[in-house]
Amino acid sequence: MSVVVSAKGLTKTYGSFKAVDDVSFSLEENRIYGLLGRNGAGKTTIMHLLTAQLFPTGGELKVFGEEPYENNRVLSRLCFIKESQKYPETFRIRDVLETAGTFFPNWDREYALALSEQFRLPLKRKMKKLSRGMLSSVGIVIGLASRAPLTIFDEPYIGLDAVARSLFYDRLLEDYAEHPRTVILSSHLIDEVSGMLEHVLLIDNGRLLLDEDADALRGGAYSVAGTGARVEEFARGRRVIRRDSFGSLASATVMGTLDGEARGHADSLGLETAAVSLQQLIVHLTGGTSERKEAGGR
Amino acid sequence: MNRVAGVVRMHGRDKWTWLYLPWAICLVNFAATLILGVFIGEPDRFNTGGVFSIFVYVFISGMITLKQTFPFALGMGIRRADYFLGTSAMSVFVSAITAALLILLSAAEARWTDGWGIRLHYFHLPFFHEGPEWQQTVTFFLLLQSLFFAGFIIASIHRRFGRAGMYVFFSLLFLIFAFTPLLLSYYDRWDDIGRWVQANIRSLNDLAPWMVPLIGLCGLGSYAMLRRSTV
Repeated sequence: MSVVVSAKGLTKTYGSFKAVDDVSFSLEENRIYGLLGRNGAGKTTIMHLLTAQLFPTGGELKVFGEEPYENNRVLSRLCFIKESQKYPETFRIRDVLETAGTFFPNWDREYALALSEQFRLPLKRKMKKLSRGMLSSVGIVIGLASRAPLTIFDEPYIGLDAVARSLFYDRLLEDYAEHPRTVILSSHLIDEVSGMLEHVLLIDNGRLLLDEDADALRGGAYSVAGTGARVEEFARGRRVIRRDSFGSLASATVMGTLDGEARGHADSLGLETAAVSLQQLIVHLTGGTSERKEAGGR
Repeated sequence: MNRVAGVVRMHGRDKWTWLYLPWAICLVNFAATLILGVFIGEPDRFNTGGVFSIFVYVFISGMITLKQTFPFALGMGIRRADYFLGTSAMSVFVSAITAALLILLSAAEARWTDGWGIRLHYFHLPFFHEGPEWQQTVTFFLLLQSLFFAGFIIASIHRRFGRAGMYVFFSLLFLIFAFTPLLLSYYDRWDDIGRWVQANIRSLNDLAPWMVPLIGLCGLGSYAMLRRSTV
């Protein structure tokens, strides 16, 4: 497996504000990565740095083994679809797609037209007259049809309804299977995309909080519920990331796998156990209240 | 495909803004002047300035082009250098076509139709159209390029330094324009300048050599700004 992106100590500051703070990671070829985190966490900044649209303040960044800045060997193999992408106002959808076709070496024109039909895009309409959802669809069509070895989607579905979103997920997986490439998907609809992700990078306050295989994360936490005292007893010696109580009842979210030992322990205490979804896990990890509660519980 | 050529083709998709619109404005203006000339009579007694709409337009298009296409091109993975080269090439094509058409119409007016049959001066003006036609074409080409890159560098400064950059740039420009006459008065050099202009600047052609460094300066300046610009 070759490394597509490697970041070491990547930092971007604006005055005293650290948008990206000493982030290191590496991405392997032909996998689907989820770049997750709350709004303003630094996800979009990282993607702008990868594509040389912003300049890092510090650290080292290599894409396809080279610096991306003003480097056609890197930039021609990248496709970055961002929610805030601007298009020339006088262009029609057709003009945007034809132009994208001249810029991306692997562009598949037939596929772009077929996708446009599936997303019901009016090819002759001017970009400035498109709805938010249609703008997102144009971005999705470009991102898929570019077949770029590194394709980055930053919140690509703003304004899209559930049908169009699932169409996007289906086409992405389908085309990924036929034309493997590295995909970075930034999203806060974590439940919707969690099934696709192979690896998760979680960003919070500009820092890398998690860099973990998605399968490991999916079974990486569970919750127990029951009376307060019993939950406390179960939690002793385990890593609890969240506690809630309602009257005499309590629940706790615990990091770790729900193996035989844990299940047996919970059963013996009469506690209910439940799996924790990736979304819930990430909400707990980035909720801001988890640390305080964890400290208070010990 | 060569990515500079790709940028030229991107601009070429918008022929309306680059070519048709300025000529539509200019020709509608011309038609109105022609009709007025026929009805009012004696159009040879005044020179109209209608043709200058094209020059104003080219200046403004230099500013608008960057705002419209730079974020898009960078978003599609185009290098800043390739964007600059492709956009410059497009402006060279358009300036060449526009200059050639303007001089063609000027020759038609002055030489072949005697002012469209009513002795109208619309495309052929004193001072602007002197000397052989090839020289006029070169001069007009340089004038159009100067205006385009003047607009382009303003937009580039705005892209690089935002509103603060605009304040600084226009303050400096204002200071230069305010203090130069003051200094000239203080050192009592107005007469010298007047004599020099009278002796050396007989037509627009004489200004052409000054336009070359202006274009070069604005072009290099724009590139320097864009190299460090973000979207």
